[in-house]
Amino acid sequence: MQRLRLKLLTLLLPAAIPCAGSEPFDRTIAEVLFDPALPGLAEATEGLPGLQVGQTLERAPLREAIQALFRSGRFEDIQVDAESAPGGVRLTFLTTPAWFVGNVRARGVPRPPTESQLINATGLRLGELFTEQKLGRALRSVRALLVEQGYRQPLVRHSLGRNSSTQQVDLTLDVEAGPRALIGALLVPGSAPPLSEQEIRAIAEWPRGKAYRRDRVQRGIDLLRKHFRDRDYWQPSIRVEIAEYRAADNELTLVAEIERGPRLVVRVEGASLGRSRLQRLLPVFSRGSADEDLLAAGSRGLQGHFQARGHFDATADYEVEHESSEEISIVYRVSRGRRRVLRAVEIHGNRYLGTAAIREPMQIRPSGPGLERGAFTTALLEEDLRAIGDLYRARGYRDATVTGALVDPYDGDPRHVGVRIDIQEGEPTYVEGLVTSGLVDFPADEASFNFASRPGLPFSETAIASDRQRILAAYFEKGYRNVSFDWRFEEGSDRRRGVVHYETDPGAPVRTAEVFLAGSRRTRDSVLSRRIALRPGEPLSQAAMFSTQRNLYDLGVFSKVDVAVQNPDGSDDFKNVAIQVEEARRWAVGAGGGAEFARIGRNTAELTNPAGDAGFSPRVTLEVTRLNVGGRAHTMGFRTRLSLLQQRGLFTYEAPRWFASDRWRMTVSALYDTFRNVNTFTGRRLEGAYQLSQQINARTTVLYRYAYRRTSIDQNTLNIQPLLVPLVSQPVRVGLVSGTLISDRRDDPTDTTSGIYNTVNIALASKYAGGQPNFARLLAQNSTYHRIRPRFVVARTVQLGVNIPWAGHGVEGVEQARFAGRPDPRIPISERYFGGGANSHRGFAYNQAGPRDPATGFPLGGGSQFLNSVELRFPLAGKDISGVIFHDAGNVYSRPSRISFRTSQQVHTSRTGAKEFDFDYMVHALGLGIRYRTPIGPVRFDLAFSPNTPRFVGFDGTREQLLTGTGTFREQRIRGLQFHFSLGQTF
Amino acid sequence: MIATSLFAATGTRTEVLDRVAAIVGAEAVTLSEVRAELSLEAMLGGAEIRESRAAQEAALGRLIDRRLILQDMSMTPFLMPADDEVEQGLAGLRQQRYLGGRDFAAALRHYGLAESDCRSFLRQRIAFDRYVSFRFRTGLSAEAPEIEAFYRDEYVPDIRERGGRAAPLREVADEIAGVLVERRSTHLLELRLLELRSLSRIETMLGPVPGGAR
Repeated sequence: MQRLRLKLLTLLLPAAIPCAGSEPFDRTIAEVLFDPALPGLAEATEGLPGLQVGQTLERAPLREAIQALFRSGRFEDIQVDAESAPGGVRLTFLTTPAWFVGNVRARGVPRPPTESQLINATGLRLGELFTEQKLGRALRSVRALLVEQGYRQPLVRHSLGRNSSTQQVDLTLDVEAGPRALIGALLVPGSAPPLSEQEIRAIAEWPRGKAYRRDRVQRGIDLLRKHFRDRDYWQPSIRVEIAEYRAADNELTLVAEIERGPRLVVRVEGASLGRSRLQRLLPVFSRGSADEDLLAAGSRGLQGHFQARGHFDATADYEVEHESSEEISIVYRVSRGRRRVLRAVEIHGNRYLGTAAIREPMQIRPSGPGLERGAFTTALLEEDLRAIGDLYRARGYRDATVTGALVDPYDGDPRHVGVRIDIQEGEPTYVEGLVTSGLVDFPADEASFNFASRPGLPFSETAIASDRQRILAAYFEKGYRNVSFDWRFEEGSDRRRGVVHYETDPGAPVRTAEVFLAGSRRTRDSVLSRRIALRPGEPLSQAAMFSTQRNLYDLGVFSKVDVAVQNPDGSDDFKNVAIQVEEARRWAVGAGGGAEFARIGRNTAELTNPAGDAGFSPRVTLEVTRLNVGGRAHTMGFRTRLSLLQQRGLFTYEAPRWFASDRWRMTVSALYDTFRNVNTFTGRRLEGAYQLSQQINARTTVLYRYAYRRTSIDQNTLNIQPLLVPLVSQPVRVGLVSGTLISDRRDDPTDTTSGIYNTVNIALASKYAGGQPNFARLLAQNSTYHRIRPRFVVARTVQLGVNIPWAGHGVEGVEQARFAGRPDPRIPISERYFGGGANSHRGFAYNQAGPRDPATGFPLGGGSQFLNSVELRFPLAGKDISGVIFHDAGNVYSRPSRISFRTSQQVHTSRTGAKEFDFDYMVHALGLGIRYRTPIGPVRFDLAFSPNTPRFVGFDGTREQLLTGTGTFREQRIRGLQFHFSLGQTF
Repeated sequence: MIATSLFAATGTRTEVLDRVAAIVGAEAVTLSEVRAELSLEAMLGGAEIRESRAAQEAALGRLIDRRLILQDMSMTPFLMPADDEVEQGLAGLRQQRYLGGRDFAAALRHYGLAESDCRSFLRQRIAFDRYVSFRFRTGLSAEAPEIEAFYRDEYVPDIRERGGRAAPLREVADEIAGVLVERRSTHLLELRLLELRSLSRIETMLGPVPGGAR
């Protein structure tokens, strides 16, 4: 009966007092349910006051609960139902989950626009709330972009893929752009337009029938603008619009409204300046306007131009001589004054800051190397005075004043001027105390931050800014996305002391709920999960998001990685993170070409010039790479390199993150190599290698390597005395176990200005490693770089290499070789040290250092090497061209015990009376070089002169003549002057 | 999903207590707020509650505008009214008589309102007025020619039309200046609301109005 009455009332009075009699309000809440029961929802409402089981149901808490849930951003709609239940009323929250933007992709996009331009035009960002309103806006923008590009009837279909587990919507746009409209009629309104239709078409390159594209229209406008500017009309107004689309012809009728504006005539009196320089100095040209501010800026530009060239008293004034709608005539009157030299910049009154510290940020500089007249303009002086004042204020000298003036003449010499800077430091303000508030969640409180503002130190806003950065970074890292920081300085009784207050409001921390990764089709989940730095339940830190993105990019298999917080505007404390990846193409093919031009001396049958000739070696490279092999983010590649010096094929299989660690990398490689880079022989090498690379820290790497190779020398190419050919040309198998330590503390490996670079390589070749020869190898390098002034760098390096054989292969002839100062025959020729060239000793041509064959004079390689190089690198012209003065000293020696610092070459006379030259001495080379900076490293040219290059006995003739004894032996000497052309610094 | 639930609810005798009536940016306006707005409008106007669809839409429109302005306020360091200001307003309401000579408590019962509804309304109204005054009235003034034009073109014809005798300009100048300032600030407010509406996500989901949501 009661129920029937209730139902009647509900039907009859749906809006008035429907719940009278069974009013759920003021009854006890028996149960609270959620439909659907989303994870975390019940927990989220646990804290809502007034909605707990056992409490009396009231309107206001219910309304607030709906609003709070909606603010979380997770729902599109919420409704609360009530029904009677034992013990009171059961509340059910019926929710419609919200949807968020997932992957947006576009297919069939004609270029232009590009696919990414089209996707950007949608304005949809990964993770943000997806609504029909936004979708409509996105589709309109995409169509507008296509129309702008000349597609007048584009068809854009869209399909939505909804993933209820991630609440994300993937949007796919299928574009059928249709034909691009053509440029049709060109209307030129006005009774006397400055250009006719034909002229506009010719200048703007808009012939009838050409495809309409936005960039083409813009380029045409730029060309028209240039046309006018070339004729001194610097303020043209050019508007091009579409008047009509003729669907029948697929043509667009354009309207070009052009006003050329007044002619701008600028004269300079008192100085002669070229047109292009004047256009650079006077903004009236670039800005196309002649207002007073721009005219005054032109005066300053002219004054600065002459001051920078030593005319320190230069002044420039302007006058508008004539102004009408047809012409504006401006004259700049320049008084250059005398040309002088800024001899000194004196700094007075500084006690707290040292003069060097003050000079560091200054732009005005007295004359010196590379700065003939010094650097001075009035504007630079003003900037420097401000910068010095800021230096003091940052250190607590709040009342510091800095003034400066030109001293003319300087030191009584009318050719010189100076700048005098006077500093009144005043008294510093000190921090008496530091009071922090709101630093919750950091148990060690401010001690853990190591604040730059501390009691006893000068008060400094720079220090406060640094502390602020530390606090915010620490809170962001812990997921406090809404942290705010404020500070104030409370003066003490003494104005020079005060208390700094740091007030932090961290807000509520945000934690990671779930992490969704989409877009990966081939990459294994196990590979991906290790790269994700975000974990459910942990603070949602910005750094972890960046790190996840970087880690995924570092896999090298994705062309695009987006990491975004899902529902960024929602108020909930647990946020999902959406990761959207796009796999890159798995196959990559690259080809390249190049050439080497130097005294390269490749192997030929002609024995006449063992020191090598200037030569040219073209080079072709081809590379095929397969990414993401087996979905493991491993890379397989095949590289070939063909040149006159070398034919090489290299297969590699690379597994970064070996042992499931970022610090380990495994590489397997197979190599086939035919090389002629030492002109003594042509060799062929087959090699297989296994290498593990361990990153100890950011600066230190260790390589562990096993290599097995078979090297054979073509006996028909060996340019040595015939008796030794059968021995040297024997194929040799080498099994080599090695370890390399690399410590790289350079600031920039391609163009280092400071730091240290050390490498040590220790290798053991042994029959136990599967090879024939037995020897140990040590190769070590130590390089340091010292910046002595801005852009002045002293760089030095020392390299030492030794091979120590002990038994086995090639044991015959050891004693004879030792006696004759020749390399130990137990080390195969292909395993010896060869030196000389652009990246080695520059006093030698490529691979020309060290012991030489007594009959032919060709290099034989050595058992050890030593090289010491010192360079002074300095600026030469502009920012990109620099110079080098260098000294190289060292050589390749026959064996470790023969390393010598002796500077003269010894000559012995054999029993037969023939001269025998000793090559175990130190060769010195002095030289000059030029570097031109490019994005891939400096291009360099080096010229070296060596006063003590080795002499040797060579053979005039061919290999056949040597065998038949018909040629002649001649004493020769390596040329003292060598040139090298290369890329990158020497070391 | 919610529509299905509503349908299903009929069979299991569930009642809709409240739901989202509109979305304004990232916030929801609930149906109970619409109902409270209608009830307050009726109580303060001394009338019965208007139940028409048009009245509900108008109330929702007002709530949306108010929410937009409150969101706009939250972007500035603007203080919400203190509790004692709200209590002062509530004391004023308590002293009034309402439809049928009811006192405040009886009127609340009649209109199905709670004191918390009045508090919330007063808090928002005080904040709204203060913000409008600060944001749109500051610096506004009426110049003499405008006052004269208003007097000539609107005030005098209006008085004459009602058969009265227009007071001299100097006597009503201040009053006219106030009207002109009010008119201009209202115009500025409308412009701002238009802008806020174009920038925000606004969706209305009024649908059928269940009675429980009050």
